[in-house]
Amino acid sequence: MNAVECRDLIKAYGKLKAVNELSFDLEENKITGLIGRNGAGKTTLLKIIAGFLQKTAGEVKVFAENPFNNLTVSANTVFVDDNMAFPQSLRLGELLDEAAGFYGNWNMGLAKGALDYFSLNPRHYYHQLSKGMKSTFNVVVGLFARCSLTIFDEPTAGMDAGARKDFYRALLKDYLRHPRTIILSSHLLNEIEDILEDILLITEGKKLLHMPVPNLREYALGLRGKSYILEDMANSREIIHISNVGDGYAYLVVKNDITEQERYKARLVGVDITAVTAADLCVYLTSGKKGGIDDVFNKN
Amino acid sequence: MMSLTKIRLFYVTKKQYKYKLMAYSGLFWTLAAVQTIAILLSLGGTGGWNMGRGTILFSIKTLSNEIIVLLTFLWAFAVSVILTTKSYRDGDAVFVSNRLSSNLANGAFLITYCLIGGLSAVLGGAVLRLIFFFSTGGLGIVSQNFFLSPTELAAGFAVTTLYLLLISTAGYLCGILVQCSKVFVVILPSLFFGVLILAGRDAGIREMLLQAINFLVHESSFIMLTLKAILITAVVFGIALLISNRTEVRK
Amino acid sequence: MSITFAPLFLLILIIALICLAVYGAKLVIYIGRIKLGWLLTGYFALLICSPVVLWLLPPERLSHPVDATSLRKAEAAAQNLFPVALTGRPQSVNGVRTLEWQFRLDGESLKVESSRPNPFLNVMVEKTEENDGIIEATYFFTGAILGMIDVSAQVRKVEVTLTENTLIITEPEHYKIELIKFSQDFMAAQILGEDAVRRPFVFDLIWEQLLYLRIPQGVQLQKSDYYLLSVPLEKEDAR
Repeated sequence: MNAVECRDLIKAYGKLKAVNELSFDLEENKITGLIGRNGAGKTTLLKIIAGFLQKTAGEVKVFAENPFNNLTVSANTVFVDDNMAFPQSLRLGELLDEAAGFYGNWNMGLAKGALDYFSLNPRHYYHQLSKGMKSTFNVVVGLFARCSLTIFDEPTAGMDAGARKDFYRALLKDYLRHPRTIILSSHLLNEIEDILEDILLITEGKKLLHMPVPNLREYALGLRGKSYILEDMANSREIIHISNVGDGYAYLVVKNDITEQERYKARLVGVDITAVTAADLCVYLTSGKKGGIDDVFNKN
Repeated sequence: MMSLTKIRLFYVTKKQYKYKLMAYSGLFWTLAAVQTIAILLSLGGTGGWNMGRGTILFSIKTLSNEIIVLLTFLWAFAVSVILTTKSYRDGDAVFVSNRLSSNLANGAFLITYCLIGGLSAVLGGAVLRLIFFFSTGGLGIVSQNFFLSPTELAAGFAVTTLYLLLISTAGYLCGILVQCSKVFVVILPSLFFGVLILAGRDAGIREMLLQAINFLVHESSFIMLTLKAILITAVVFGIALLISNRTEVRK
Repeated sequence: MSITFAPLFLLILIIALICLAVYGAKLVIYIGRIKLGWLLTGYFALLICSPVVLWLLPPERLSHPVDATSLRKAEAAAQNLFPVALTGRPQSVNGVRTLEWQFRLDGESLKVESSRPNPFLNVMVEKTEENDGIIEATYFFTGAILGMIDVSAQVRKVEVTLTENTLIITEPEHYKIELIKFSQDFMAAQILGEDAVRRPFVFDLIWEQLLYLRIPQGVQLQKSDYYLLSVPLEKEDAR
């Protein structure tokens, strides 16, 4: 069964379409990364999936039901962002107790252990925490609620690198222990690449691609060489990215459909062929301008 | 594989209600503060009668718990409006909820704080009496109406709670309307004061207004009053529920 | 609280509470976090205990209304004192008490002064037939009943002294006699019926006082802070 299904989903605010005819399926029990630039529509999409926002048109099904205002979906979904409205009058420990009452699969032992590990005092109040500690607490709640659909929307705001690493590690470990459908949206794709199974890349509300991470890593190739040589090679191809690197050299990114022969020829004329990381590829694919910010400096 | 948790509305509503009791406990502190202020204001008396004869001022100071009850009314109204604001609605959506369960839990919470408000407003009258007894030694306090019989306390508590329910539900509906569209922030007070001003000028409107008020205020049968109040409360709350059922959260 | 203040006060309060509602949602939660669990519990404990403590209070310590008979008697006394005194026989009024002074006056002139710049007391003067230089001052007063409660004990008395040829009447300085009355909870009244109908309370004052002087015939009244009524009034004067 698919945990989430979207068909031509549209969410419009006036004339602006935050989500623009988005169609995809998320298989259950997979960790999917939702990647995109600021304002691409990731948060809007996630909030529609979680049942907080209403769609304008199209179809969205979570566990085969319409998620909006849906008690079953709410009971099986946890949404973690940097804006969790915990009340100011409850301590962290009390919040965990309350969460346990709401979520059937809650694991208190691990939650308390995690609190302790991250040096969060259960007798403190939520609003007393720093931004990073709040985020840490949020992910602890999201993780050990063990909901069938767990959504993390940029959950690591303010967390230092060490805490983030611990979070990813904990996420993976608990996911392996108790598989569930996880959607993780983050800017830092290079950090989370290793724990993601699939990536859903969107830009301006539209889907660019949706594929497993290994496929993404082999999706494109980077070519570095003299500009005029690269221009030649680029002619018949779809350019994903091109930029000047100085001294008449350029860097070109194209789809990975170069034949062995062409590789050999390229090496002969001094063109370096490198792999493109998934993170970089996503940046190139989602940038509006093919040239990148260097062009701004070059032109001015 | 995670199996889906099946959930029932009643269970979620109950959990949310208990959660609100803990999370919103600070509101009761404001009740205590408002009532303490009300008691202090009441010390000056809510009425009086003076006659001066030469150098002697003969004075009768009338005391009642009107101010306490009135301020409790205003408090309850404010609280029910607060319950409909963004941070409180978002707070509902952190764990498990849908609009219906949130509204029902709010309703249960509303009934709770109306009961508490009604009880403390009536008991505030007892506190007032104690304050005067211990500060004057008793002499100078007229015995009539000084002692509060259980019947009076119960009656005062019941009626005050019924009015609180009406006022709170009205506040809740107002809050929901404002959340739907900010324009109501202007419309609702204008409507309220507009009706009052018109009633001041036009006898016909004044009549209608008085009739509406007397529908409740002149009802001397407790059973009838309870029925009327519960009916109106249910209808108003139902409207609020219907209006808010399609709102978005955590925007 | 005077009636005119109420609507304005109400308006301000409504606006304040609406502002609190709109902007204060965070404020409310913030206050809730403060460790005031004890204070809150204490407040509600105080409330719950109040009616119990109230029931335990001794009713004798309160002010109880006088019975109807005494009330009528006092009313009669207060109403009759002045007119009867004008006929020269104040002592014949029932239910009136007195304080008496006697002085010996040297000389034939008398001044009457008051301790207060604005004298209030009614003073009547009867000229006696004997010329024995004795001045009699009698202060007549009824009981003071305020709102059906006897407050006579709190009324301060007038004093009269004679210094040389000046009669000094000392009236007490400004003071207040106050009663505290609780009204019925109007919420309870709605379903229990108004107590004003069942147990009427009258906001009223019954009290009268008078100073009666008997002065020898030959004494001349030089000056007086008081307007002195000459008694007994002759038939022609009593218009």
